Amino acid sequence: MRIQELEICNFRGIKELKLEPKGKNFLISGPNGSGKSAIVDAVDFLLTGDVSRMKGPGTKDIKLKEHAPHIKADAKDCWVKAKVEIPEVSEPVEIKRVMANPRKLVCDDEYLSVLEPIQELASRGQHVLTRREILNYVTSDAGTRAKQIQNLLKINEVDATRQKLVKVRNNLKNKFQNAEGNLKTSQSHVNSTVGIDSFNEEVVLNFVNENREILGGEALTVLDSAQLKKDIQSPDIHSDNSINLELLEKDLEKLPDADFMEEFGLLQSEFKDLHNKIRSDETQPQDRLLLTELGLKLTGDVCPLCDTPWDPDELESHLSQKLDNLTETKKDLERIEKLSGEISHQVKDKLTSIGEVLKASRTLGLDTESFHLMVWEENLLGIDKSVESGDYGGEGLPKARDLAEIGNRIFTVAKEHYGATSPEQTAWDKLSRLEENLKYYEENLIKREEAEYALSNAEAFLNSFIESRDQILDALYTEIKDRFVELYRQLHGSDEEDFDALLTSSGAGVDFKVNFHGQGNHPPHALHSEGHQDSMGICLYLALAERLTQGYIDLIVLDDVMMSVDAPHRRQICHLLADFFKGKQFFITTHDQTWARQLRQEGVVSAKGMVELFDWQIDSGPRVNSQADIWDAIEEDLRRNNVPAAAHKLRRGSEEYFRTVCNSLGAKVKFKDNGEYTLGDLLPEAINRYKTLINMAKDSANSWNKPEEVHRLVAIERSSKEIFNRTNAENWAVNANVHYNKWVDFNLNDFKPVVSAFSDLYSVFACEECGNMLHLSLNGNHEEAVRCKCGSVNWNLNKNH
Amino acid sequence: MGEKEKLDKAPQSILDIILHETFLKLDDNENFETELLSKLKKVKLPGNTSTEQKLTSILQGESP
Repeated sequence: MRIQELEICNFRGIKELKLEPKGKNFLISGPNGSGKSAIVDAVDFLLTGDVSRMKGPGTKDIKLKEHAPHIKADAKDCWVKAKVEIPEVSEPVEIKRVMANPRKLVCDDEYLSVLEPIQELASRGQHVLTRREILNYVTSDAGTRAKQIQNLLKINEVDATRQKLVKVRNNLKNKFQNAEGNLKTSQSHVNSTVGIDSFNEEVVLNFVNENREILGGEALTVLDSAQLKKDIQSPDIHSDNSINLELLEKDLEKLPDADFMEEFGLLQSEFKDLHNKIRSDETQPQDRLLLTELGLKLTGDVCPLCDTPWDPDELESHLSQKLDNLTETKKDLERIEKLSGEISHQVKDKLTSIGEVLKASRTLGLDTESFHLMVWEENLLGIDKSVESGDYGGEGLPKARDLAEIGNRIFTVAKEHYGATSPEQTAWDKLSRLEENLKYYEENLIKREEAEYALSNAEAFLNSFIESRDQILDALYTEIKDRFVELYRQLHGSDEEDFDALLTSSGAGVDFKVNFHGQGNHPPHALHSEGHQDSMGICLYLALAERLTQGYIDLIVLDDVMMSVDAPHRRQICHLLADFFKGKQFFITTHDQTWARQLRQEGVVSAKGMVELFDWQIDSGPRVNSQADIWDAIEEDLRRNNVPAAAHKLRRGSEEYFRTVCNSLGAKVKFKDNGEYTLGDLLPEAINRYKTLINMAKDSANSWNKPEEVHRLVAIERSSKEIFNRTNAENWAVNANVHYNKWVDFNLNDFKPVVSAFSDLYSVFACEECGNMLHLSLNGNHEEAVRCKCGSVNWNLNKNH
Repeated sequence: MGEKEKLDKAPQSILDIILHETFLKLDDNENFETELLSKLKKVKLPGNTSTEQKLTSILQGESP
């Protein structure tokens, strides 16, 4: 997309302004506060519905609708419109955005879909480079730079996605760990019934078949709770309400006893000591351990916490040292984790046996015993719950009745009621209990498999994403880095021929280092001058913008970006913009008139592609001086018989024009400390220089025996002499009567020929074909030729010796 | 009236390109089910607060 016309009304510092870039590069110059950046903001607003400069740090109280319109202007009268060229659309498209409804881009419905991707790209801010951004790209720390580059590349959303996938993976990992814990508990229930220490399906199946055999059942080949009682029958029809003394005796043996209390006490006491040790340490070692481990993951060339610059290797070593100092804390935490597991296992085991004894106690109607068992059950459940939730702090079990006595009482009563159990009944009861345990085990086995499946999917997704991210970003950074180096060498090839750079992803940041004269890679602001850093910022931005706008937005706005680059390198930047980015339309703002002249002189912008803003007033905004319109504007003044206004324009325009001519042709103008050169200082020297150069060109043509070239140069010389005479320009420095200060006293008929003569005079110094100003080409200090941009003018100054 | 073609879609963002590559990798992964892949492709990333739950459900093999 390129801008043909841009019209701004009541926006920021501008009252009314119309520019006609006609799809070509456009220069807006003027002093600070003249309204240049308001034009940049207007383009921003037109494309995005927002003004990026009014957002971000330090802009909390700045509101678009309140502060973007010109003073006292209503939001509905504040608007920006443009005629834009869009690839694939044959005619310019008119677009407009009004502050009253900033979200809506007004245009023919037919083009809304075509403009959508352009707005999307513009919203990423990829078309505007400001001085502040250059500093952010180059001189800031890796974190800030990374943020800027990531914002431009819109890769901050890449990390947001990664974080989301990590969260999902961690969530599913927790679920898997819980499922695995539940599976182990269910296995311990089976183990308890079978009387084994570790779960083994084959042993359990043997146990099943032994008991089935007692009941006359066939052996099973597969362990399945649904098959456990297949083809066998209960020996006692009241078995559900009966108590199996053999099993009860085993359950009673497993009730919490003195040994359990001692073992639990040891675990709990060790847990509590470690827990208190870590918690009471005012240096908060657990948090520091977490922070240090995280810091190691995020190492770059700054501290991830306070942004203090570091050498990455030194930072990594520093954090590793800190981590070493936390080894004891790490070990303590690992031990705590292990103790939690053991406490949880012990408690669950006791809960199982208490559950079975409680069932028997209730069957026997022993309320007191049941109450004491329930107190125990509640205490154990409390510990179990706090361990599961991670809130356990090493609390002990409250004092409760000794269960040995209670157990004895239950067994005695049970024995009175039920007597000895037949082997068949015991076998049946064992199978019944195992059936229940196996159901729980099978349920947990399925849950664990499901959790494992989900975790494996999440890990595959995350790993593929990270692998793809590294692959794509590495390729992107390499591509951008190569182009950056190419562009930078174009600018600084003479002084840094072997320049190279490093642009890589580094954790959440972007590592950017540049080679300094073969002395290794360093941060850009470590050794390079400010001017070189500016060049780097421009080159990095151009490389990024070129990669990202991809023909959708050909417009690139360079907002006052040439602060520290010296004159020769600025010329190189001109060539870079003109030669390397032919397909782009640059909007360049500057307060620096020398840079403005260079852009014109080097052909980056044409005379018609530049305006100068000046004399900004609060009510009226800036006044505009346009080289393109100088003759039309003078014509208009003359039509209104306003000779003083026309004289002012001709004077101002001519001073500007001949200042550039003198610079282009290397004329020797008498130096003035204040830099205020009048036309009397410039014009005679420009003409003398022109005459000297054309004489040198004739001598050269003669020396090469080129009579046709000599004739052509003589004709040019004759024509220019006639024009010089008409303006009487050569006498300006000495003849006060014709000095331009007197122009204001001229009448209309006196002044019209002056205008005509100056119009012709301008043309002497420009190419008839391309309209660009003639310039002197040097080879070192040697004056080689006078040329124009298109090559139509090429006066050789070298003689044949 | 001008004619328009092609430019009806913004160029892929870097995230889109990475996700495209991610899905290609998952497609090549024989342990990763095609059905899950087609469901994951429909999730807008990085998304909002409900996206995590949506992803969790899909990865668990449930309907989001």
